[in-house]
Amino acid sequence: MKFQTSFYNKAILKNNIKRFAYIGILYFVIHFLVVNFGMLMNTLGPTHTMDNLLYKIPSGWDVFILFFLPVILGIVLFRYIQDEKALATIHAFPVSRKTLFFSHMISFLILFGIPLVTNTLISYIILVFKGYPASELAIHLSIYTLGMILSGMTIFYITVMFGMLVGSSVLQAVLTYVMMAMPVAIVEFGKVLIGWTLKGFSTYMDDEALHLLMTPYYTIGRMVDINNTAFLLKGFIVIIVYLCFSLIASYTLYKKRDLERHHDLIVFDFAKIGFIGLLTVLITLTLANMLGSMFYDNRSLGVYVGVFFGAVIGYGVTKMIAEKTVRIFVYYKSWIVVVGLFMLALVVIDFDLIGFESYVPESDEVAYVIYGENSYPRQGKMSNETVLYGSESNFELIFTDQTSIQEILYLHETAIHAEQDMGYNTRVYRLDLLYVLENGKRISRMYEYPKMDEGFAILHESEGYKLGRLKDIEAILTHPRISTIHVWGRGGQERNMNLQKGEALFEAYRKDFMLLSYAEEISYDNWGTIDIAITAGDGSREEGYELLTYHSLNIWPSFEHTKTWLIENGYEGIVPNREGVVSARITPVINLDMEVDMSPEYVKDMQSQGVIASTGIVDDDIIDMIYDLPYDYSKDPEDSYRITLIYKDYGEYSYRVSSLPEILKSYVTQY
Amino acid sequence: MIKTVDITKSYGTFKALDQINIHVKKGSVYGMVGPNGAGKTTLLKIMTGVFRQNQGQIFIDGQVVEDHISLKQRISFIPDELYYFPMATIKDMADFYDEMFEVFDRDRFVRIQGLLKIPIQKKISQLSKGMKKQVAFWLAICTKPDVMILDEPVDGLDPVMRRQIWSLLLQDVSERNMTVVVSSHNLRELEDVCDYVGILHEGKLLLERDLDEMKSDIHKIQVAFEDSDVSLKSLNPLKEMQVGSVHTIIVRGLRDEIEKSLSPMKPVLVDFIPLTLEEIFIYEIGGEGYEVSNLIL
Repeated sequence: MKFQTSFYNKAILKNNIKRFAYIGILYFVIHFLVVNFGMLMNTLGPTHTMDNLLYKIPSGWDVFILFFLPVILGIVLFRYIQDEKALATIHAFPVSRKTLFFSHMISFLILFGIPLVTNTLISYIILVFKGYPASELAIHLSIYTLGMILSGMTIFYITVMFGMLVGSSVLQAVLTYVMMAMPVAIVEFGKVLIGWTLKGFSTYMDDEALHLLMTPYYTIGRMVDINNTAFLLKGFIVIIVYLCFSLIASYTLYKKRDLERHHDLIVFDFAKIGFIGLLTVLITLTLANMLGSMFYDNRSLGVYVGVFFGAVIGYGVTKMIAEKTVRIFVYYKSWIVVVGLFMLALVVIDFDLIGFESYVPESDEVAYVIYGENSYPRQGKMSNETVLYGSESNFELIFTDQTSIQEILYLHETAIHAEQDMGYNTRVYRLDLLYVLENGKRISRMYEYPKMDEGFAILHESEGYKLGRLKDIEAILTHPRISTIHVWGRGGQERNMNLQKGEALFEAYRKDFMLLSYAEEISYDNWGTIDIAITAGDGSREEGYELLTYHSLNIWPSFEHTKTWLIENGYEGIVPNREGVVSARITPVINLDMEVDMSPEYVKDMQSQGVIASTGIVDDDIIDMIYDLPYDYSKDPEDSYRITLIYKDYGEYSYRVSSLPEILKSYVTQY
Repeated sequence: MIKTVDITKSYGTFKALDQINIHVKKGSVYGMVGPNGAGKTTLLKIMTGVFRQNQGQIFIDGQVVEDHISLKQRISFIPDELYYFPMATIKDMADFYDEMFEVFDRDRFVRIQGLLKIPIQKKISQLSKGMKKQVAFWLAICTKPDVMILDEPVDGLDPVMRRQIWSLLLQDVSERNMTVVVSSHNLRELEDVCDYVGILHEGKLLLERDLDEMKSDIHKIQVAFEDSDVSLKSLNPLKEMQVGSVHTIIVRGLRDEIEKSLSPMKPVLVDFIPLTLEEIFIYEIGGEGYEVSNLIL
């Protein structure tokens, strides 16, 4: 007896495999060529270490294929539910919807999983043969394959889920991609719009869980990167949540679907509401963003016009699609209500009827505050991960003491009333505050280009701020992948030092930093720099690894402890020494935005070609004047120059200046 | 065998079926007649578990059909618009049916191939509409179903092939006691094969009758009297026409009783003329205000 009540149906399964085998074969070939072949070619290189190999997985192409193949299979395997003839025939067969559904799932796993697993096995065998450690490789490749399969299944079921909601395969494909990206688009456009209309609104969304759940694109893109071990577990959990949701939702919708409604574009009434609602919001926000950007001088007008017409067009168009009719004027009442609601929401935000802009928490309510300048991650301190992204002008600090909290609250009050300074010399282009209150509530504010030096000065000269900044430097110095500490200064010498020396130097630097004034801090003036390089290696190997980032610590003019330490420890060549300079050169900065100016190499090249004088400025009085010019990172294109000092013993040292005295302008190298 | 209880189905605000109650006896051929849009296809798709009713129940052998797999193993459905897997040959479909159904009679498949003379390696997409229909019957019959549900089954078939197909089906009805439910918008098509007929109109079942009973219960009689003033009102005719001394009447009742009633009137001629199914229905329900003639064209 062949009949059985089963999870799958053999006839359906065999039929699916037979009909769509070509897709699986094509996938096998493409995956082999773009992923495996690339990975195997890489092993031919001189540094075929495990680390280097892992950096080639995923290749990028596999993620790209991942976003297409499951969608195609999701459409073709369930194509029959969109076709009257096919659905009547297939659903009349002695097979339940449950069995049909899971038969297609198994078909997908075979068509997608077998080519993937086969490819992985081929790679594994070849790589083990080439000498890679078998067990370590097996673990990495298994994680990669499992991640790919789970991700593929998730995208497959999301496609199936949208297929169950609609009556057209084209719409199914469109909705799969649009809806997966739509939450992100709505949130991003919404944030920009609210940011324009509500002063202090933070466009930074620090809730990672929400971020991950907004779209599977984000999670899948990160999860299949097996090098990102910190994210791996989180990624697997999130993708399993997505998978369970899409599986349950698509199965439930299939069970509930009225098959005769395949004539409708949207099959379920609740989906119709969601479709109209989400698309109307998206269209409204898009138009408001577009017009807000176009009407830069009168952004408020642009936003109001954009929201009004966006809501009118959005609701009209989506209603037309969902109801499959052009006679949408019969819905004029709901149309008016929808447009009215959008306008009302805009008025509430724009006029701050909820008191958002003026609200500042009481100091005793605040448990701690994370303060960021041009920064986003909101961990309040540098971690091994954020060390790779942070810099001296892009940092964040956590404050828990009442004194610092009160200074922050004062800064906040100042920011509410501060104007925006969009000038060239704006140092803080984004001030970010995140209060965590005693009751656990989080309050977030962001101010762009706040013009309020007084507020910043109080904070920057406080002990809490300085200790926080020094902790950041410690985090850099203790990073496991630190490779070099390079110190150079106006004395002309450049030196590398080991970590032990670097830590000793930092002790001197710490004393100076605690005494640094705000005025000096923002002047950018310095006589030297400590560069700390972080590489992809483990820090003990300096060669052959990609430079991930480096941090530059300013040595300000007042840093006497640092100067003394350098002199006492044999680094006196770094410390300013006018006597060592034999000539100087002043060149104009060519392109401020691109940070392009005349590099020493370029100048040498010009000199060798006789385009500019080879000797430079040799007049001692003039060199004295040049030597005393402070470093300045001005962005005024009419007033930016590069000074190059040429030393007797150490080559050249080069830095930027502005406000060049008239007398020196005649010494600017022309070319 | 098949019983529907108050089956109601709506498409939005449109009621496609309104409290349909039909009864199909085992081993009978039940014809479902109605114009386009009457709800025939909807009812058949509900019977086969493809569509779901909004209200009511449908039972086959006392069991609900939808997702009842063992029951669906015994049902074959040939829809009005046929579907075969793209690029499939007849052999592919036969293999699929063999795998899908508990019973698939390979011997019968071969025997019918001899009758239809269609090569089994041929792609179905390359066949004519009529041949595709033949393939549908071919495959369905080989599953030896207890219930065969057919939606406009012989559309597109030539008269010879129609007879052959019906012959195959009726053979199963008589030999295996197979039940057939067949829909058509043409009453004449079903006249020779149906035991029962139900008429659907605008989602409502107008009537359901045993054809033999109906034929014995209604008569068309030509009767002549010497005296042209004879009244036949006492017979309660459904329709009466008179040309000279010859009366043509349609009356309900048993033939013996009608003859007995006529006898005292001393007719000079009594002739019982056979009624077509079409006429029976016109007279049966014509009085209820329906445009029956439109239903059975």
